[in-house]
Amino acid sequence: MNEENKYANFESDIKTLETIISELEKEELSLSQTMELYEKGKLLIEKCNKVLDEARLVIKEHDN
Amino acid sequence: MNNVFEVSSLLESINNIFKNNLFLKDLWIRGEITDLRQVASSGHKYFQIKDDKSLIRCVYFRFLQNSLDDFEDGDFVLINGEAEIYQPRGDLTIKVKSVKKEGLGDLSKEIQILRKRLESEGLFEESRKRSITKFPKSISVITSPNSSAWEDIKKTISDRYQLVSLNLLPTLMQGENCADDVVNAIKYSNKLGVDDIIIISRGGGSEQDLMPFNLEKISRAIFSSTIPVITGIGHEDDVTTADLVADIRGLTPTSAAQIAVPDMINIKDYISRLNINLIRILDLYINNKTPDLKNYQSEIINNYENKLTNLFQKIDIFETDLISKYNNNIDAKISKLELIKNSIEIYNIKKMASKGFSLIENNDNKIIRSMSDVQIQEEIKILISDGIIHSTVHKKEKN
Repeated sequence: MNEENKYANFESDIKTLETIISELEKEELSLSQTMELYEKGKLLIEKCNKVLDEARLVIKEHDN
Repeated sequence: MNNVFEVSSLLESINNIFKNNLFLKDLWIRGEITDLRQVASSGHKYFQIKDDKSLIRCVYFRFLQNSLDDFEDGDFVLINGEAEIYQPRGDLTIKVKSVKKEGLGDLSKEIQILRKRLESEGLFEESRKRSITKFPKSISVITSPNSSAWEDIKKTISDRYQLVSLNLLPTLMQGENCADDVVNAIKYSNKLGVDDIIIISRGGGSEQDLMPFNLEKISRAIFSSTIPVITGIGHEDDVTTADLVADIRGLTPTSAAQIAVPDMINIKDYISRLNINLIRILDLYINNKTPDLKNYQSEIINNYENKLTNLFQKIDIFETDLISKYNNNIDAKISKLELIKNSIEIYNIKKMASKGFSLIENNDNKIIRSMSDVQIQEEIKILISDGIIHSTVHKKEKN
């Protein structure tokens, strides 16, 4: 996986996390739905932190 | 005769008056440059500034000169400086601090006219300006590769947000070809179409250096760009027309870079807050559901006990039923068996024999049922109740 692809989903991951939080705030969820969303959220948080920790700035000079 | 001066002391006194006069210490003179010469050894510039009636000598010391100064004989200029009497000759001299070409005055008017036109066309409208993505993946940077602007941008972005690719489009940022170069770079970035943001940036400079960014062609190119543009041109006070058309104006190159990317520290904080929220919501859920769970538990236990009792009752009934059915069945079987037994008894040969009936067999133990089963002189066995009588057939008489 190259650097660009690795970071490509960061924004959507953050958005998914926000959606998960707002979904979880709905009261009508079952325990299994709640646990499923919670697990998904935890994994995304782990992934986002990893991406931030491993991020390295890429600089390319073009011959425009 | 009290007011008699030595020549030098008179000039010195006048200079002191000049030095104590705020106006003369920091004055502005408009005029035309003439007789400009630069002394090679010292680097100081000497010239005169004149209008149609008068002329004043000027000296522009090397250590005050700006590398961007560009004037020559015949130029109309605005000079800032300090008045002084040059004592060896008694000449009034202006010690120059800066020189600005007055021609720019006309240009300023042109800029204002252009801005009014562009404004009327809606190029400065805030409502048409695009917002930039929160987490850009790739950014075009239109600047000069050797400039401090580029260094500032690289450093700022590297310090703040490393989840991004910077695509440097090396561009002339001042001079005659600057405007065309910037326009081409904007078009190039749009053609590539991979970047989320374009930053156009250069450091501070004279009005003339920044002039290309007031030209219509750069404004039009920014307006036509499908990629949002952030400018960071010059210093805070330098507002170019390009800045007004740009989607966002950064006050400096550093500020443009800060606008372009979020700060990773803030993102980490945000993720940490999301994590806390996630855990809090789950805790809340569990706490809310615990009373329910307890209710369910007692409900389940009650139901279970009832069901179990019912089940045992059913088993009891079934057992009784089974036993009774079994018994009935056995009784019936026994009666039937008795009947069969009786029937068999009837046919019991020994019993028959005891009543005087006998059974006749030949020597091959075959029962003789008909006359044809025996021959004259054939030995036969007569089975009776208490033994066997061996005999021989003497005569056969058919009924």
